Amino acid sequence: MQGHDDVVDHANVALKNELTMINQTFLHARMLDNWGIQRMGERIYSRSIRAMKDADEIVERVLFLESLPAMQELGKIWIGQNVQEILDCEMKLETTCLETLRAAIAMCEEQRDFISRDDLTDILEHHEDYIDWLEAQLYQIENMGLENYIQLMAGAKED
Amino acid sequence: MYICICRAISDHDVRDAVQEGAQTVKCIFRSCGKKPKCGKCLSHLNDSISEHVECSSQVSIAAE
Repeated sequence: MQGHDDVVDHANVALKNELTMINQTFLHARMLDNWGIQRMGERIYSRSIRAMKDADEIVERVLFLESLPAMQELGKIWIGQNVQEILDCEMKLETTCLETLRAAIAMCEEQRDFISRDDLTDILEHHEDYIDWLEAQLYQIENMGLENYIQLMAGAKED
Repeated sequence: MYICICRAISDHDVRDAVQEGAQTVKCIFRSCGKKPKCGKCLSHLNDSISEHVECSSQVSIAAE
C-alpha cells in the first residue's frame, strides 16, 4: 500500500534514532557489565533489545508503505565515562527521540495514517517508560549518593 | 563523556588540550596524538572547544 511521503520521511527519522539508540544503549550496557555494575547494565541492555524490536516495527511499516527504510543513517552516539554521565547521555538521546517521535505522530495524524500513528505511539510509550526509569535513577543518586547507588546496582548476573 | 568515539577523545581530553593552548580541532587531535577518522564528531569537538575556551577566559578574567 502506497504511503504518504511525509509519513515515510518522519518514520525514517524515527528509525535513525532507534538505530542510534541500539548502539548507544548496547555499548553502555556492556561498559557497565565490565565495571561490575551488572544490574544497571541488564536494564540498559534490555532497552537496547527493545529499541531493536521498535526499529524492526518501523522497518516493516515503511516496507508496507512501499518505501525503503533508511537503515544507513545513524546519529551521534553519546557515551558516558561513568555512571552519572551514562544516565545523562541516555537522557540526552531520549530527549531527541521524544521530539522526533511526537512530530512523526502528529504528521501521521495529519495525513490520516492511523496505523503508522499507532505503531509510533507504542514506540513513544517505550521511550517514556525509559525516561521515567532514568529520572528515577537520577532521583535515587541525588538522595542516596552515587556510591550507595552503585553499590545497589552492582552484583552478579542471575543466570 | 566521549566526544570522538572513533579515537576515544573525551571532553576532559579537550579541556586539557585547550588549557595547553589548543584552539582548533586539528590541534586537539595532535595534542592527543591521534588522527581524525569518520569526521562525525567535528562539530561537537568545535562546540566543546568553544565551551572550554570560554571557561578558561572567564577564569583568567576572574583571576585578574
